[in-house]
Amino acid sequence: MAEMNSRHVVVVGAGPAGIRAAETLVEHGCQVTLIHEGPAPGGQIYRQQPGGFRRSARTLYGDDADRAVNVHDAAARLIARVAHIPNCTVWNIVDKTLYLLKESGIATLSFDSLVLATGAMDRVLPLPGWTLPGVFSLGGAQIALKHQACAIGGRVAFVGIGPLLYLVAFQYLKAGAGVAGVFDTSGFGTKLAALPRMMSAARYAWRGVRYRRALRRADVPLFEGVRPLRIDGQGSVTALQCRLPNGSTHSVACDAVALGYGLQAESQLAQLAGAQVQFETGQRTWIVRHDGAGRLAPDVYGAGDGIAILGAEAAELTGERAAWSLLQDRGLKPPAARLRHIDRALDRLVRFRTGLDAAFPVPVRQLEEVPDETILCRCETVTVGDARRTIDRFQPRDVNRLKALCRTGMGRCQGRICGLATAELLSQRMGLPIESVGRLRGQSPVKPLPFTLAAKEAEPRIAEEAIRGLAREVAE
Amino acid sequence: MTETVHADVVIVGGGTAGVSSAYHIAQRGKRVVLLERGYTASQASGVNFGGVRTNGRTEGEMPLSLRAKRFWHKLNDYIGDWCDFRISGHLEITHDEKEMQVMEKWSRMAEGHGQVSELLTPRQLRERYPWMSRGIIGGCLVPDDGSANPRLMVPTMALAARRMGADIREHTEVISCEHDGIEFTVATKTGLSVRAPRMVNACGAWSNRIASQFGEEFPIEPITPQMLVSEPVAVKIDPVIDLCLAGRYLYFRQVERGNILFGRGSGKVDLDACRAYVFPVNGFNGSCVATNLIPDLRGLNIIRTWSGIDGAMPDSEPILGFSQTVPNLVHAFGFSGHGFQLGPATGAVVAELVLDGRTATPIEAFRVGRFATAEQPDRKLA
Repeated sequence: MAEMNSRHVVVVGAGPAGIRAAETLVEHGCQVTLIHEGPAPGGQIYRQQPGGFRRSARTLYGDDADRAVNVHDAAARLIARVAHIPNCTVWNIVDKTLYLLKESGIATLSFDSLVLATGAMDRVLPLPGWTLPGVFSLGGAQIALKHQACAIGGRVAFVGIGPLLYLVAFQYLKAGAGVAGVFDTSGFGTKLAALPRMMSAARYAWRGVRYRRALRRADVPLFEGVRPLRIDGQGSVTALQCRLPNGSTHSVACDAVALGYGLQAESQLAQLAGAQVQFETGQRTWIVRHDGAGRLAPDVYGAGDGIAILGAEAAELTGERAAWSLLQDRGLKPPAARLRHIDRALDRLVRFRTGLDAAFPVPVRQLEEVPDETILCRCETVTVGDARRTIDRFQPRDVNRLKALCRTGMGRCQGRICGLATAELLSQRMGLPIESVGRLRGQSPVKPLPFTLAAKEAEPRIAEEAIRGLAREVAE
Repeated sequence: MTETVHADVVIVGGGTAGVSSAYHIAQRGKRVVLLERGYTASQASGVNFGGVRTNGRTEGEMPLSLRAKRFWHKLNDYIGDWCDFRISGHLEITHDEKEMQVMEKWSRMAEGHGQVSELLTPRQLRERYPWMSRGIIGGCLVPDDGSANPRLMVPTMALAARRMGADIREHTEVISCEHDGIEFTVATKTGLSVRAPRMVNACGAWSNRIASQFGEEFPIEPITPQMLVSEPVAVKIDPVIDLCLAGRYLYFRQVERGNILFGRGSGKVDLDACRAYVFPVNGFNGSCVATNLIPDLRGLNIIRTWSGIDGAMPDSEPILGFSQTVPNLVHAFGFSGHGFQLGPATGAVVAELVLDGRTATPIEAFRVGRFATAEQPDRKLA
């Protein structure tokens, strides 16, 4: 058993899911390498401030301060017992080898088992002006504040859906930044109808009520059931235009916009590791298929928001659960009572999540109104009109085909920003169910790779001939 | 649901060769049905490098390549779109004296076929291409070569073929085909059945799957030429460029946005899953040659890699001509990683073969029977 357990496990990601997975594995004798992109563990949700910053955990993480401190403490204990590789991006997986990108260069790392806890990122929907300087994703706006105590503007409009919308607006207010308003695309009635399901995690529902009350008390305008029409400005944001439920157009002066329509799993590595994805109807996004206990593919496990968007508390639980699955596959019997506890807690959070999804439907219909000249893929400067014309001409039924025909999703971000919006556009225009048009495939390198670092890894005989043959001076 | 369609010609395979054949057959007013398992140009035809070159072609390929060139230069007239086709010139460069002699020889050969080319000295290279490393000792430029967007070319040609009446069925996988002495019957997974007196096998790397149903077998190997692309680069690189180094080519071109596409090496193929897998080491080797050749790349990123599956023959020449076992079956496959430019002429030749029984374009180098062994008689039909 000891020998089996000493085989090498790599955990990718050091948010709540990765930390809890690594912790459970180390406690049971596994030899673990913990890799993450940030300088310190914590992930995005519990991101630690840079050295020299002195804000308290309460200031940084609010109601989640205790959880954040617990995860940080667990990470601190863990680092002494694992091979810890911060500031490192995994950009490819081939068979049982990870390809790493560190500041010092490219390296490979083989694994016997892999736990992916790669987290999530914002979903955005294009509207005129969304690529103006001063428009940030909602999560990005929160990170700026949490990490480096920066506000994205002096007078910020918050646009989108979900509990994060009110939370970030509340955090900006508390930090002393100007909040121009909260523009929630979901109507009050929609939220009210979903309330019973949200009571399965009543403390989270109650928090939302508190944030709203605080914002109202500070005279921050809160709008519900709005449709954002455009962001105005020349070179920077000057105003946001919305249509209110009564049909009137409302304009608010602002110098920054935080835009977010929920989260999407960062599932590219899971796909490269052989996992399948499946459509999640409530969130209109793709999640990673697993066996109910975090098994994605042979010797590949997954946890946290990188698998399914359930939030930080669930991430700790799914991280531990994925670790137990791995240990079980290596012959260790997991404690039944603990697994039952995890499953019960997760059930409650999943119910809460379905309530949230019902309360904050992704307003994809607003794409129908977006003018042709609006940018869809900002990396490749593909407009919504380009995509519409391509769809009409070639009648593609798959988002990867549309990508091939009009370049949307081909740029630096590999379609992370425009992928879901492109799929919605295709589905609407062709009259196809959204799940049938698929999603952009994850491909290596999942993040950009510097030429010079790649060149260093060339085979010696090729490097030798390239340098000898190309770098010399030639007489004319 | 079963459906039987009668046609003059049935084509299996919706890549460059198949779609171009459908185009030219439809242009002659004949009824043609094309069956494609996925989308048109799903594999190498749609995700290749996009080079449109005569430069460096073997003597055997020159007539076909030059015929294709005439089509390319009027692409918009023929298919109603330029598909990003640009006459930018194609330049072969080298750091090796022996390679230079090969280029000189090629240039003379090409001249005999009426293809103009220009041999460049180091000084000319430096004046025209200041971004290029000083190790390059010479090159051969074919000014009327260029590049096009492979993702658009074949799908656009398919639209043009459809406008002329070609029946192009995507997502229609062939499960069996047979010949009853008069007609071919091709059955598909969707229930569609096509009957036609003439048939074209244009299935690229999968072509043996059709050929073997008629007792033929070819030494075709799947290849997946690997591509990668940079972020937009400020330096301007006009021609499409090939450099042979350490026994393999690095080929590259810059697109309008400024990104540079590179190709080098071949990855791994899963023919059943229709997937091509990229080998990281090919990207490393390519990056090494590229950064030494184009110092301006330093500081920039690789943003994407990809590949598609093609079929390669042992002598790198395609198979193009009549089957040796069954009448009125034309094979057009095995383009060995350089069939994109040839595509328009390939289809024209296929149309002539199936409709007229012969073509004026010399295709001797692509003889169907050239790999036949003693056990497999060379001319069963003769």
